Amino acid sequence: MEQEISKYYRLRDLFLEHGQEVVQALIILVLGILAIKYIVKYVRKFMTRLGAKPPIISTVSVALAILLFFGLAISCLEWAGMRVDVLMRFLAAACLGAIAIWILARPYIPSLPFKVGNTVEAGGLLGVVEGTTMIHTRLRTFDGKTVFVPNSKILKENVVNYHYTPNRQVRLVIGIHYGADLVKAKRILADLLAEDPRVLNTPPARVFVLNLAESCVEIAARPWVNNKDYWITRCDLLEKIKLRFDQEGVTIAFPQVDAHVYYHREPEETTD
Amino acid sequence: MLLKDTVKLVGKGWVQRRKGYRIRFQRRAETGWATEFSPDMKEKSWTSEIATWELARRLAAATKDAGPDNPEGEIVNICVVDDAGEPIPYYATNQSHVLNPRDVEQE
Repeated sequence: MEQEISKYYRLRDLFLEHGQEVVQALIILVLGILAIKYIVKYVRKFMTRLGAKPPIISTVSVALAILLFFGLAISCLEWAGMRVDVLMRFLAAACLGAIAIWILARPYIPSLPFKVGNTVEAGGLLGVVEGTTMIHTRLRTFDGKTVFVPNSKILKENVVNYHYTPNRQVRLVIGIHYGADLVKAKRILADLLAEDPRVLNTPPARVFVLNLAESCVEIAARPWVNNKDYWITRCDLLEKIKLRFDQEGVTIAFPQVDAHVYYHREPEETTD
Repeated sequence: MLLKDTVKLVGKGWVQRRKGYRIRFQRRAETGWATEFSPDMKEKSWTSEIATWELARRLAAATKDAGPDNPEGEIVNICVVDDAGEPIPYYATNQSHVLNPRDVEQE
């Protein structure tokens, strides 16, 4: 009982001696965290306005937040009357240890095959990577949905990264009627690809007969475009191909069946 | 002739690859009618012919009924041009196409 009372008195004395500084330090910590949040927010906005890429913005903001938080934590501890030199030494040792572990273990840690800002097909979804954490990847689909895909699922399945190479091939297949002018159709396609400013010269665009199908002659057009131009170029080319074929009298085929009807006549009855 | 030279020659003259598209129109100014472009010549041109024609159509619809009382809105002879400023045929008809046509030389 006496021990409990002496402990209480010791705590009371400690609080009376240092309590004010501890409370002040806590207030500074809370205000500091709010200030760091706003600083990081404005730094992100500023970098976005400058045109910096999302991965760089993400890295710089996180690094800035960590540095500011450590500085704030150390300042608060010092204000509260604690010795920070021991803490600094511990932090320095911990950082060096973490860096060493990271360098040694990095080849064995599975990493995601994309960066923030890449357009990927992962986990059965197509979208832009908005952020990654240790546990999941945040994808924004093109219809505006935000999906959190577990990294474990991504690492197990095939991932298509549309930004890994700077350009992409547009695969168009147009089916024309068997009676249509094939050479004219190929010429029209080649001219349309050649005059579009988004179609790259290298690798060169190709037009060829792909297949003699059941209902049509399939002609393939294979231009190369920059990644950012892929979808709109594909849609524009399809529209122009249809309209130009209509103007030039090239019929686009649709599935059809020829039916041949034979009438079987009953022999006429003869009466004797 | 070497094959690569043949390919180079064909590439230069076969089909004119356009570099971009702009909308050209005439707007009433204090001294008369001024020819303007959108995007401006100082800006980068658009790479989508279809998008440029669509914007031209909307511009024509928005300014169709504007009169001298609304000088900012009086925009006529709207067409799509290439990077060199030459009008291009409308892709849907392959014919020349001018929106909000008006003979401004007589005014």
